Amino acid sequence: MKAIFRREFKAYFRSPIGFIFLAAFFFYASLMFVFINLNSQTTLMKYFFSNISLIFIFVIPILTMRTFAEEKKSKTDQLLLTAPVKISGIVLGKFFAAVCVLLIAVVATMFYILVLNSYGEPVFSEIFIGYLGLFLMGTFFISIGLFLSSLTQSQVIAAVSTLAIIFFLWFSSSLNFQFSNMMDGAFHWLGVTLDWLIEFLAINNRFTDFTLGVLNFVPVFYFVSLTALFLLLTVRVIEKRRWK
Amino acid sequence: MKKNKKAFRYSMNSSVIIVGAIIITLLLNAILVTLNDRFSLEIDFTEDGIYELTDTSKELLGKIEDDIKVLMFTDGTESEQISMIRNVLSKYTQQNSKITVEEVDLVKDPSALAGYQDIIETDKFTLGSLVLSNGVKSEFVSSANFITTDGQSNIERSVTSKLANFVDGMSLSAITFTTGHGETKASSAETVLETDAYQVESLDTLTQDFPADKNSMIIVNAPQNDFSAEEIEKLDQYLDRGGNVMINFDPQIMQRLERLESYLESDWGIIRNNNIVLDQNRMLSGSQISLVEFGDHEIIDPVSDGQKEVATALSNSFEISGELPSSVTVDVVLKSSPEATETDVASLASGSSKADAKTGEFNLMLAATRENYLMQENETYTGRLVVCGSEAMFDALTLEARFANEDVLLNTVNWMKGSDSGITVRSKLMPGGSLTITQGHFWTWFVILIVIIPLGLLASGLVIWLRRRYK
Repeated sequence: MKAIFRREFKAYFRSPIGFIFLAAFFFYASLMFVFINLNSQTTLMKYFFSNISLIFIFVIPILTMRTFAEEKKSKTDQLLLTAPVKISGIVLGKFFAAVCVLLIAVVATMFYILVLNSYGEPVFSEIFIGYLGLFLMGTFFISIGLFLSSLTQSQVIAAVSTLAIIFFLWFSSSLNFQFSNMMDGAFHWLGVTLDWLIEFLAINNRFTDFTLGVLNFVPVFYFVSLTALFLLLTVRVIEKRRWK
Repeated sequence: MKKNKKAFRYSMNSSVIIVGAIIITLLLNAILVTLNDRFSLEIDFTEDGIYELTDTSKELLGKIEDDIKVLMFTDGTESEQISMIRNVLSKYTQQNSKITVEEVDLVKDPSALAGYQDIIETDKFTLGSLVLSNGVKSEFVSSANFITTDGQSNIERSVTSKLANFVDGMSLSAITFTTGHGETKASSAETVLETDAYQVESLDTLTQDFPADKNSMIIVNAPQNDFSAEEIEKLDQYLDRGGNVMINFDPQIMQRLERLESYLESDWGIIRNNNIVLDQNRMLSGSQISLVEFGDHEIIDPVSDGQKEVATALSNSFEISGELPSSVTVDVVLKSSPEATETDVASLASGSSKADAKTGEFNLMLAATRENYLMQENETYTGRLVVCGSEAMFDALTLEARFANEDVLLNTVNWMKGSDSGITVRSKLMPGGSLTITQGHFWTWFVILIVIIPLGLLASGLVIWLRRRYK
């Protein structure tokens, strides 16, 4: 796993992808920080976190689109699949490499705390909980991206499908579908189940607690468990390919 | 054939594992969500613990035995305030399962308010307002004061105070402001007391009797006209039967209140000075507000340990008579610094110095008690009297979050009425402070963070790409 991790992590910075990701993330994050915090003259980072998380929808697919799709297209996946490495090792190696790039981006924005500290008195504990939420959500999105990249050999399809799913998860709570009202009679149970499922998947609601400075174990478990689930699905997809 | 069978078995195993993993994930999440409805699975990292209940609220919730339904009125849309109210209310339901919360969408059900018209104060009704009901009685909690403009949250404070009315022996307690002597309306003090679920009433002492309840409390706020002999008699009898009186003077009113001041001196050993205390060293720049020093009294004990100061505007001072009437004790609650001087209204207006002005420590707020044994009832009553030299101290300055004046007012009420008579949950500081940043620094950070660093990162990526391409 370590070898895969090293190879993948270096690959991000041998190509422009890692830099484009960091530049896009830092540009957007700084834009939010300057206009939300410095311009409004507040140490409150709640609105910063709510807005910065939106950029994940667009930059995480860039980060994950090539992980498996490129290997498949260039047929290098044959080497990986026949190598004496566990499939879980391959998936985790690629996952942690992407997570490390995300971590670099997130940690870089912690520089803002120093700026805030120079002009006011921010509450560090509140801010660190916000960062924890941001990180957990980012890792969840990466696991989705990895899974979708493992399903296709087209980087574009991998990126667009990741974007579409994250977009749906992000905005599903705002769409207010109310399937239970649409489905009457025998299918009412289906409407109720769909409503529950959409509410369950709605990421926005889960992330709110972190932005408020509250460490709630329900959303922590939600992000960790769904990340693990998508990694497991990715392992099964690759394993199926190896087995074939 | 054998290969197909193997493939089928593998597919089956794989499908079972995937479906199993999905079901387990959903199930564990559902269990956690259900557990979170009953027990708090969160840690509040905000500075003032804004999303957790204080011990006072928890203690009160432990005493609630009736089923109480909390109705929260919304228009179906989400807002930050609605989300905060919902979050705080969930802590009540987690703490006591007898409490349930129901959200009422007034757009879908406009008639929902109809059943509560008699308790809802229409001028104070805003979205997020609550009605607490146990089926027998209902209480209205306005959301208008939940979040104050100076960044304080009163959600827990308002809800807990109203919940106290559902606990036996903690029913709504009245505080009465006198009228008929040109008293100034203490709007800020009334707001604070109402937020703490005290019922604010008024009493015309000329035409009405003083309350008979020894746990009642009367506030005389900045009277301009003197009390009549009959009123003084009623006041004295009220205090004799264990009553509680707080008198706040307005130092800028020139007219002396002969009978009232004479009564304070003869019966309580408290002499009101005809002066205005100037504490230049403790005065805030550009204002007539100065910080006061603490005396030695239980009213001030909880405040003296805190970080906030108590402030006063221009104030009279008081002397404690050398010969106190028997059974009377008088203590200093608040005083000036030893460097303070005095002036009077006329000198202050003309900008001259007061003749024979003293320098030193001046008493600004005194608390006195008087024991009275009633033989026919075989009971000793303790009357409590507080005098304050500045009415602004417990009105205009009460709502200023930077000062602890609100705490002193509520501690005074608790001292007079007995600490068991009310529930006091203080306002909580909302997260977020202010930044002091100049325009120049703002634009410097703008250029560094938004232009230089992202461009630097892009340039690095470009260089690496070009080097690899033309290697």
